[in-house]
Amino acid sequence: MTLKRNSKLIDRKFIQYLIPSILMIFAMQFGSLVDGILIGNFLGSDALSATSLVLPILYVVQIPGFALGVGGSIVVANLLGKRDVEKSKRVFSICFIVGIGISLIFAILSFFVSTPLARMFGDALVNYSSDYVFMYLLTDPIITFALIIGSFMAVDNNPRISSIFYILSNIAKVGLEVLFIKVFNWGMRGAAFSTAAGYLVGSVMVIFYLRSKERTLKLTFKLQDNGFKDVFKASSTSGLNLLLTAIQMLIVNIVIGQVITNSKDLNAYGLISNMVFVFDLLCGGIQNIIPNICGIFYGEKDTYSLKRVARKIYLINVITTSIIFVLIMIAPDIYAICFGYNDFTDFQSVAFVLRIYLLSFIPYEINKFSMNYYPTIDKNVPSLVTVLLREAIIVLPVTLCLLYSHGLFGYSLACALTEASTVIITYIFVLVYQRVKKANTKGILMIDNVDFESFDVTLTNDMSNASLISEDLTNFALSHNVPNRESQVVGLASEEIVSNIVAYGYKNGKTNYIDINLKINEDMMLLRIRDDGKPFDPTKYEFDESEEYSTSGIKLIENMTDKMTYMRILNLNNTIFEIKFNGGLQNGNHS
Amino acid sequence: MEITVNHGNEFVVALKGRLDTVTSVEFQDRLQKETIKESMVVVEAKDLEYISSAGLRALLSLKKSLSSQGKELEIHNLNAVCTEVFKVTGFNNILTVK
Repeated sequence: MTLKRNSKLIDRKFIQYLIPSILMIFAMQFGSLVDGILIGNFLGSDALSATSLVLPILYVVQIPGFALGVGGSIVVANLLGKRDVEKSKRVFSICFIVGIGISLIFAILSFFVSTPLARMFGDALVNYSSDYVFMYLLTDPIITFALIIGSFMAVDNNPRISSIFYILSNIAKVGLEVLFIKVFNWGMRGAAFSTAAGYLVGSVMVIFYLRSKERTLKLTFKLQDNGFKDVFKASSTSGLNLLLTAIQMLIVNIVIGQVITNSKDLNAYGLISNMVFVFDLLCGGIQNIIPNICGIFYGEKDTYSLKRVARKIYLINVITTSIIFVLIMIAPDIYAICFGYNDFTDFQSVAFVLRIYLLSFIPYEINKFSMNYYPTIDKNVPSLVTVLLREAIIVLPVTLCLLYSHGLFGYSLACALTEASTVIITYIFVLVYQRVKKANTKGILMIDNVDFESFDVTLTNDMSNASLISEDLTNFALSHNVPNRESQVVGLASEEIVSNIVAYGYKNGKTNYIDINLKINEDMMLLRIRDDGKPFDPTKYEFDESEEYSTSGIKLIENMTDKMTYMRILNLNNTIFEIKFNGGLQNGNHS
Repeated sequence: MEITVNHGNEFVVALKGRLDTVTSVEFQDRLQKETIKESMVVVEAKDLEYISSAGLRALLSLKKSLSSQGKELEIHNLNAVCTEVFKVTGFNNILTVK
């Protein structure tokens, strides 16, 4: 028999995570777009300009929520993959305590620093900007809570609830913003408050999460053997990225204000700025699932699934970016019309600048992949290289030089050059880094080389496969010098679980898939059986103890293996067996 | 799995290979076709390499069927792993294992 591993099971999970993620990011970006439209229309262009000016401050304010949400969920995904539930609960709790703590400090500071911060951007719009900054800082604990819980709900088996949370929050935000500005006349404070108020409305979904049977994470205050270091490591990339983006935006905005003075170029700059929004709107959701899915596969050391999913995300990301790239490249005028541009005299020069700027987006999305992917697989150095290159080392000097020398064209060219060079330098760095460090990883994706004997197959939910896999596993173990008793036990464990899944796991009448993985180390075997049938925890199965015998296969294997554990991760049943052989692997042939 | 039967003073069923989810059905089908006149049925398990809970259930079903006819069932020469399976499940208490 030739059973092979395929990706049918994880492909289904991929889609289940991808669609909510795309919808979620779409809702978030759409909320931001409508926010700008509402402020511009209800409070005027000065108010809109004030929100643009203070954007770097808002980035900094969001760092605790974004960095701890993204970083913490990466660590939790890795830990869940390693089945370390207790530590994942501690990391979850640490993120909340630290995030809420920092945001409370911001809230207190709001009474003292809002006006001085607003004055940094000039006195002309200080009334608008200080109100906006004040309310944003004051409500930061709510925003931070929302950003952290949103990330954790997705990684903790509830991607759909997480998406609905964000979608609902953003819809509520728009409705409340109209109410606060038009009905209550709260002005800029109302506009800023609508973000937190929207999240408060969306938080109704947190109740569904708390009641979810799929939930693993719970708050704990037993923080010994804490995960501060892990959280800090994983959060550093996203935190540093946000901080450097804020600084870069601040400097570039100041310089653009000095260099670009005519209205035509300013309007063209507006078109350019919105291009990021278009790409993030359509590609952000694809990138957003990297921590959740890749993080778990990395923790599980499931290199097959990690490679498969990472390549898929990379490919979908590049294809989507390329399609948008081609469409805008062909018709920059239609793109301009979409954003309300109406001065088409001498549009050729604007179109030229747009097309040059457009060149930056394929490498831009590749760089975003690097910044998301490498921390997820615990490779922080390459992601820090990417962040530092594109946010500081290359981008600022090149952008400022070209902006001063060639105006908006120079700015566009600088963006394209810096994004492309960041991709090239990062990839060269990754390859050289692995060689110099003699790392046990390979390729751009830095996938770990498997240093143990591994058996990896996918079955369909056919009862005959329970016998086939059992025999195959036993033969595989025997051929790798595992003692006979343990070789038979591993076959027994697989047969009992697989037959149970086939008999009771599915009621949809469709072909379903079960992934089987066996790893053989020096003195033990680790068998993982993964399926997307209805949730079933064999460790909590209640046996009829009244009889003097048992026909239960679950009880049989629980007793014959050294350890049976269960976890519901990625909405999949994962049953794991440890089978030890004290004498170690045998040498020679087996009968 | 190979199943061979032998009629005589005892009805002997020799099993060779694996008694699992699939082969236990074959085992039951095969015995249903046999007319057992002997009062003692022996399952010769010397060459039985593996038994799962499905195999145990097939043996239990055979035991119940024979008991209802006033006949006995014995299992002979189980290997170490199969013996462990019998002990863990308590089947050594309800089946005669020699």
